[in-house]
Order: sequence, then structure tokens, then C-alpha cells
Amino acid sequence: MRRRGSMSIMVVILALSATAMITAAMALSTGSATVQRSAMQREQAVFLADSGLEHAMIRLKNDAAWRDGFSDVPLGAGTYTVTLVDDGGDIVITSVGEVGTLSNELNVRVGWE
Amino acid sequence: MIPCQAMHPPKRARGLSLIDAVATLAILGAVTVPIATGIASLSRGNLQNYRDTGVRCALVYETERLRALPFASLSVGSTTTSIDLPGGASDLTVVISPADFDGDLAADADFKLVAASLDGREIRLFRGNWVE
Repeated sequence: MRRRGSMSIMVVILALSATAMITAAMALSTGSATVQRSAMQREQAVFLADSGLEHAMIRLKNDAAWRDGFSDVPLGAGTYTVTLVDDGGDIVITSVGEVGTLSNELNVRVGWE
Repeated sequence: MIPCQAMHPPKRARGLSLIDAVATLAILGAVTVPIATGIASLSRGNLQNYRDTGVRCALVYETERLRALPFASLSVGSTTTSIDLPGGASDLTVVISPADFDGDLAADADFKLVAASLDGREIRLFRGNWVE
């Protein structure tokens, strides 16, 4: 018995299946690119927080009474913010690096002799 | 069965008619191009992701290395190194320059800006000479 158009229907089904698979794979690839971007920003935020700490330490070395901290200092792709709090003779330094929506925080207790 | 049909039975359908073949080829042609484009784009995307991972690892490795060096070892200047990456080599450039830590808009010898860049990505950090 003749089935008109059966070949075309099979081709359409195969094409739709292939399109669906490629679309899914492209969505995965796009997601992977987003993860890559976030990973880079996270690394930058880590170094920004570290930079804030370095900046605070050199300021403290030159002025032991300095407690002003820094607010949103731009560096590269983001900013860092540093706060200093006296605590039982020590100074607690908190440095936060921010890149986009990602941030990284470092806390260091410093004792001066 | 009427006698005439008995003498000339209807032909059996075999293979594709011309219309079937033309329609099938037209559909194949219409879907092959976007699918091929999608596969090519997917391949490029995967290679770019692989390359981005290499760029990030190389940048972090170099920046961590510079962070671990004694302050006195950070020589002001620029260095360029070729790095093998998926999809082709690229230059890793490190620039170390004096920076201002006290807000007087003058660069200080005890504070340096380290900038490592590769393939359009960059990591910057400050290093201070605060260790007694």
C-alpha cells in the first residue's frame, strides 16, 4: 500500500529531533560560558580583597592610628572596601572585593607590638 | 473483480514519487543549513570555553606566583611571555608599577600595582611592603 509523504514526515521528525538536541547542547555551552565568566570574576574578587588588605597594612605601617578604611576603591574589574575595628588591643581588618554581583571577604586580626 | 482489472491489475507503489523526492530534498535542505550552523557554533563555543579555562588558570597561577614573591623581588617594568592555549598561543603580559597608597596622588616605592593580562582578561592586585 502506498504511503504518500511518509518519507517527508520521517525527515521532519529527524530534523526536529536533531534541532532539539543541538538547541539543548547550545544551551549547555552557553551555561558553561556563564560559569567561566563567573569563575573569572570570583578569582578577581579574591585578589581585590587581598589588595584591600595589602593597602590597609601599608597604611597602618605608616600610621598606626589610621582606622578610616577604604570604601569602593576601584581596581581593575571591580572594587574593594576595607573596614578596621579595634578589638582587645588587636585590629580586625575586613576586606571585601567585589566584581559584578560576586564578592569575596577576607578577615585578618592584626596585633601591633 | 471485473475482467478488465483481472487483465490489468493496478500497479504497486514502489519507491518515491517525484513530488515525494522533491519535498524530502527541500525539507532536508531547509533544515541542514541551520543544523550545520548550530553544530559549528557549538564547536566554537566549546573551544572558547576550553580556552577561557586555560586563560583563567594561567592568570591565577601567575598572579599567585607574584603575590608569593618577596616585595623586593617585584621589579617595576613589563614582561611578556607566550602561553600555549587551546586554539592558539597568546601573550601573557605582566606590568608592575609603583602605586599610591596614601592618597597624595604620588606613587610610593612601598606600594606596587601588579597587572597580569592574557587574551583580553586581566587580574590586578596591590602589593605593599609592610612586612617588618
